[in-house]
Amino acid sequence: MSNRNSSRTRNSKPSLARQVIPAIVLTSAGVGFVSLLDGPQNSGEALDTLGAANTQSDSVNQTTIVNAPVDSSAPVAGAATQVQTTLTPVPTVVATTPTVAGAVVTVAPVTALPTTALPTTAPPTTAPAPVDNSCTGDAVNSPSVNFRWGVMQLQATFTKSNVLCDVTVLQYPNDRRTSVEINQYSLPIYNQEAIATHSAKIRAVSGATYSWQAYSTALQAVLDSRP
Amino acid sequence: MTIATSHKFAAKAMGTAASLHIDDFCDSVTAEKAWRSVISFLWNIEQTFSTFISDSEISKINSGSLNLLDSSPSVIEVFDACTWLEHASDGAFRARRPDGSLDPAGFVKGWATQCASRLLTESNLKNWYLCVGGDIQTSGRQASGELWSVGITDPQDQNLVRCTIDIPENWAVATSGNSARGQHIWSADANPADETLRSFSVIGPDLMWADAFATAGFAKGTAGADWVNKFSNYLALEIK
Repeated sequence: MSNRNSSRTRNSKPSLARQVIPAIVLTSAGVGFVSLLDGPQNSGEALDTLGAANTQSDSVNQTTIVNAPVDSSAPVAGAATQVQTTLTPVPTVVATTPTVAGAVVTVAPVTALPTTALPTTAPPTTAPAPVDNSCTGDAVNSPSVNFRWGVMQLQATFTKSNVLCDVTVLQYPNDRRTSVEINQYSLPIYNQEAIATHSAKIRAVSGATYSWQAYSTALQAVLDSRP
Repeated sequence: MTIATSHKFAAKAMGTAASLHIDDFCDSVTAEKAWRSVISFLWNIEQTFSTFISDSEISKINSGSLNLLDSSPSVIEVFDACTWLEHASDGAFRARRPDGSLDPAGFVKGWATQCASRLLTESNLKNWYLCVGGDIQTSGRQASGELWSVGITDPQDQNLVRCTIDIPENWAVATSGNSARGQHIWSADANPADETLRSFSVIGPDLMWADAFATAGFAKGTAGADWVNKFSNYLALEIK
């Protein structure tokens, strides 16, 4: 719990809520990991619970998280509670035992991404805000959290309309070779132009095996043909 | 400073597409030569293992004209590995159809891709990835110095990327699911199928095991992720 306190002190920058809340979200995700690590025999149950929570209230979770980082005047503690209860969409990395390299990430379905949440973030004048879904807004780092198997730090990135769009693992324990970065977002990529502008980073695509006939329209074909 | 160029190749192999991206600082003749060795190796494996080719060794074994014990060393190697996997997964992984005939297709693609990737290492190439039908073995990094970034597709829409993974150097990623070719994985009775599970990816050092663990982990349903995570250095990623 000391981690949460340290995150509250990070108020030197403007937009206090945006700085602090994601840090708390990520930290409490970390606390969740610790509790799982503390009870490896229960990890299966815990995973099931996470999965169940995910399927029950995906859209609710998405929108709540979306609303949370807005520059509201709500007290930080209250907002933090709200976010903590809707934690499931944040990628969850679980090690079943400290010595085994294990990560399970349950990614929420493609629903209710930024556009449905925009009205609540728009200014009260009801003027239609331009939709900017690019993941280029503020980036907020969580405090480094000590786990039994090492130090971990996460980074949350927001779109310009304050939608949580990316969670990145900044720091992994050194004794694991896994500097795995998992970004949770959904990108509609239908053509070469979209790939070029939105996800130049992606170099290959993994999915269930496609047929040779399907390859011509598959993302991998676009990546292969891109210079 | 000269920036390494990217050499890209793609061709039909094993009923799907094989893609090779080489980010090494090498001339196009070297890259082309490496690609030819890879694709001809894959075609060769296809000739041996395909159940769709009537004179493949697998077809001959299934028709009774060839005894499994008389088959080539690569066939023996594959069925050794498949037998181990059947035991290790408590039957979730199977290299036989319900009628008893051999069908190692769930294993051969990842195994062959990893074998083919050794040809690239032997050609002194350091930074590349080889992708066969969505199963990917990487080596080194991109020309930019970043890790290879692989998008995992949405199981319900192959044109959507659900998340990206930066693959640790020299690691592999494989994904199993029902989306692309219909229901081709069946669950063993002992393990309840996870109705919500759409696709199951595994990353790890070797593609042959990442692919096999993804296939078996998906078939294991709710128990799949825990099962995969028992293996050191192999990580499961589920999309529900």
